[in-house]
Order: sequence, then C-alpha cells, then structure tokens
Amino acid sequence: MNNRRFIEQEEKLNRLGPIFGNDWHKKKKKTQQNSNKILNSIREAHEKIVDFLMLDINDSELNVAAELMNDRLHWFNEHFDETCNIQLAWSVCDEELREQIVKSIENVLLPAYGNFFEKFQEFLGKHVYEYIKYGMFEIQDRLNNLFLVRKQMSLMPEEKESLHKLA
Amino acid sequence: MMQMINRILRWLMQPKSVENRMFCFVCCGRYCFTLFSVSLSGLPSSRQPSTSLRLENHLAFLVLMATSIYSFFFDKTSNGKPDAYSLISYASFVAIMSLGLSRLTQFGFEIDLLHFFCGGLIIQLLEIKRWLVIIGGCFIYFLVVILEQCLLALGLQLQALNTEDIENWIKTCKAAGKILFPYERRLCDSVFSGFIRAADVSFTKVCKDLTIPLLNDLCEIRMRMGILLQVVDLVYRDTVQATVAGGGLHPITKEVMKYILNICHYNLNSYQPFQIVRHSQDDNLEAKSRDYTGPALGYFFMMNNLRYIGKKAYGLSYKGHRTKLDDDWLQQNTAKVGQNLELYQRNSWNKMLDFLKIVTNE
Repeated sequence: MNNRRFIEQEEKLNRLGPIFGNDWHKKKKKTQQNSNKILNSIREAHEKIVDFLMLDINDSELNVAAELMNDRLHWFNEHFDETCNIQLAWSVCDEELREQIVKSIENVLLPAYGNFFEKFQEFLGKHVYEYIKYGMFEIQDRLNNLFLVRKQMSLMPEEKESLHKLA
Repeated sequence: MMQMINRILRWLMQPKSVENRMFCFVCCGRYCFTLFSVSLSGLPSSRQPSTSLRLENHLAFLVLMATSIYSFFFDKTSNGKPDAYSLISYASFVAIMSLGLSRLTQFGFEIDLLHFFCGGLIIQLLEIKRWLVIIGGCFIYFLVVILEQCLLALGLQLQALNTEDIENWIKTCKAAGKILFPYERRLCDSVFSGFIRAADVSFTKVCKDLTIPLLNDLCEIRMRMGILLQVVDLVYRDTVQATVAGGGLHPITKEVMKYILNICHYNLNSYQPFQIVRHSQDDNLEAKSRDYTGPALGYFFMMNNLRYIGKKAYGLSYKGHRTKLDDDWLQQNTAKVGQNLELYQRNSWNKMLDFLKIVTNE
C-alpha cells in the first residue's frame, strides 16, 4: 500500500499519466479499493486493541481505587473504634450539651461516611457490603450512646439540692 | 446573866465563915471524886464506856450528898436562915451549868461548878426544913442523869472520830465508796443536768435574741467581704484534684457556684462579686483544662464546666438578677462552649474525616 501511494503521488507531481496509460489507471482504482479494505481491517484491529487496552486500564484502575478505599476504610474503622472506646468513659452532666455534642459530630461524620460509602459502592457494586463494617445506622447508634452519665449518679442529689435552694 | 454573876460574886466575898467552910468541903469532895475517877480509868479497857461513865456519875452524886449533909450538921453554930432569893439563885445557876454541859462545851470546869452549886442548894434546903433534902436529892439526881447522857454522846462521838480504829475506817471508806459517792454522783447528775438543759435553752434564746439584729446589720458586709474573699481564695489556692475522670464537673466548679448562689441570694443589688468570682473561675478552669493528657479531653472538660456555670448563671438571671452584664457574659459563655466543642471535635473526630476525604478528593 505504501508503495502504490508513492507511485501515485509521483505520477501527479511529474505528470506521468500519459506514460503509464489506461491500464495503469484501471489498476490504480482496484488498488485503491484494496487499500480501503486494508485500512478498515487495520482500524478494526486497532479498535480491538484500544478496547483491550481500555478494558485493562479500567480493571487496573478499579483494583487500585478499590484497594485504596478499602485501606482507608480500615483505618477509619480503627480510629472510630478507638475513639468511641475512649470517649465512652467520658460524661456530660448537662443533657442538652450532650445532645449538642453528639449532633455536631453526626453532622460532620455521617455525610462524609455516606459519601465514601457511595463511592465505594460504585466500584464494588453488590460486593460493597463484604467490605463495610459499619452501616450508617450503626455509626449513628454508637455516637448516640456516648457521654452518658452513669458513674456520677451521686451528683444528682446535690444538683437537686442546689436547684431546691435556688427555687 | 451579868447581874446574877455580880450578885454571886458579892455573895461569895462576904466574910461569912459558914459559906467559906462549905466551899472548902465541896472542893474536898470534888477532889476525892477526881481521885476515884482516875482510879476507875486505870482499870482494864474491857469495861464498857457507858457502864464506867454511869458508875462515875453515881459516885459523884453520893459524894456530893455526903459532903453537903456533913457540912450542914457540922456548922450548927449558924444562926441566920437563907432567904428565898439565894435559894432561887442556886437552883437557876445549877440549871445553867447543866444546860451548858448539854451543849457539849469543851470547857473543863463546868462539872466542878455544877457540883458546887448542887451542894449549896442542898445545904440551903436543909437549913429551911430537913425533909426538903429529898426534893433537892431528886433534883440533883435528874441533873446527873442528864450529864450522863451528854457525856455518853460526847464519848461516842470521840470514839467515832478515833483514827486509830482502822477497821471502822475501812468500813467507812467502803460505805462511802459503794453508797455515798454513787448517790452523790447521781444527785449531781440529776441536778446539774436539769440546770444544763435550762442553761442550754436560755443560752440559745439569748444568743438568738442578741445575734439576730447583729447579723442583720452585718449581713451585707459579711457576705461581701467574708464570702467573697473565701471564694476567691478557694479558686486561686485550689490544689485539689487537678483532673476529673471523664472530663466531668470539677468539685471546685460546684463549690464556687454554691458560694455565688449564696452571694446573689443575700445581695440582690450587688453584681460586682459575682463578676469577679466568675472571671476568676473561668481563668482557673482554663488552667485546669491543660492538665489533661489529651487536648480533646481538656476541651471536653471546659465544655462541661462552662455549660454548668452558664446554666446556673442563667437561672439567676431568670430569677430576677438579669442585667446587661449578665447577658454579655452569658453570650460569651455560650460562645466559649461552642469554641471548645469545635476544638474538641477537631482534635478527635475530624482526624477520621481525613481517611474519607482523601479518596473523595481523588
């Protein structure tokens, strides 16, 4: 194909048409059709290769992204467990303040976790639940159980006395 | 009494041989009696004291009667009869002597004088009529019996006081220890306990009556100066329990708020101590929050205590102590709680968001 194209160009540039004659022109048309066929073949093959490459790229990217997210989720779970276990012993004497604290944590943590969950699900599809340790409601339940006054019930009578004096 | 004594003295000083002789006889009789008594006391101590005393008295009586009768018959040369006055004098004087003895006097010559006047009385009676001696004898005998009783009582008392009698002393001690002292203690307890109660009641009443006006006058000054200094000293000198488990309420926070409530209760128009105490308390809490190992717990501690203080202060404002200063302070308090909440959250929960955000950003 390359050679035929070369001859054709030389013929046009140097006005060699009359020299080659009609036979050459007839052959030229046939060869041109052949060239088109060849190009189509090449394009198809190339497209297959491209598709193959694209598939490879997608699979690789999928694996890498999934692995990264899984790692981050693991570390998140570790920190979440540790923080909840530590702060479970903390207590807030004022119930209104306790609700304020829990709600503030929820407002920041739950949206981020939900967004992460959606992204993770996009890559893993149905298999996402195999990698998730906490659902949204489980996260929320653990937060709602924090900072409860249990060990300091003895303070209540004093506060009642104080309120009684105030009243 | 003095008139009688003077009369007796003048009577004795008369230069009559009869009276002088009688006096000598009586003294001789007494002397014999004394010698006999000494001989009796020399006898073994097995004799009963009362028996010895009785015998002595009867012998004295016989000696007295004998000497008196003898002197009467021996002095027949006497011509004059005694008058009634002298008779009464003798009798009364004898009575006085017996009364003196009955009083347990410690003089040593009462008995001798008694015997003298008894002898004189008998002689006077004999001079009037001889059968009157019987009356005189009876009279003197009764006096002797009285004397016996008096001496007996005196002797018993002396014996009781004898410290050489160890057995009696021990018995007395036992009786005192077992009976007298417990009874005395019970008596004192019953008496003084009643008195103490009465003292308590009166003391309480007096204290109330006297101190209530005083307290009313000094109440404001005391509340402002005393309690305020106490609270500020409590806050700044605070060295107890630097941290509270779980970041809860600090004991000092509750203690200071109690004082503040007391101040506001007694000083309805005074906010200056309140402001000073609250600011000093805030400074103290700020310092204490840095004692916690993690910054998150320190901020958590601040939230807890600031909210507690704010609620109490708001309660006071709601009760009618509201001013612009309180509104400003309450707003600052609320803002501080919010700041500590943000700092607490940033130091603990936001670290987890980093794991979630990295992937999201990519």
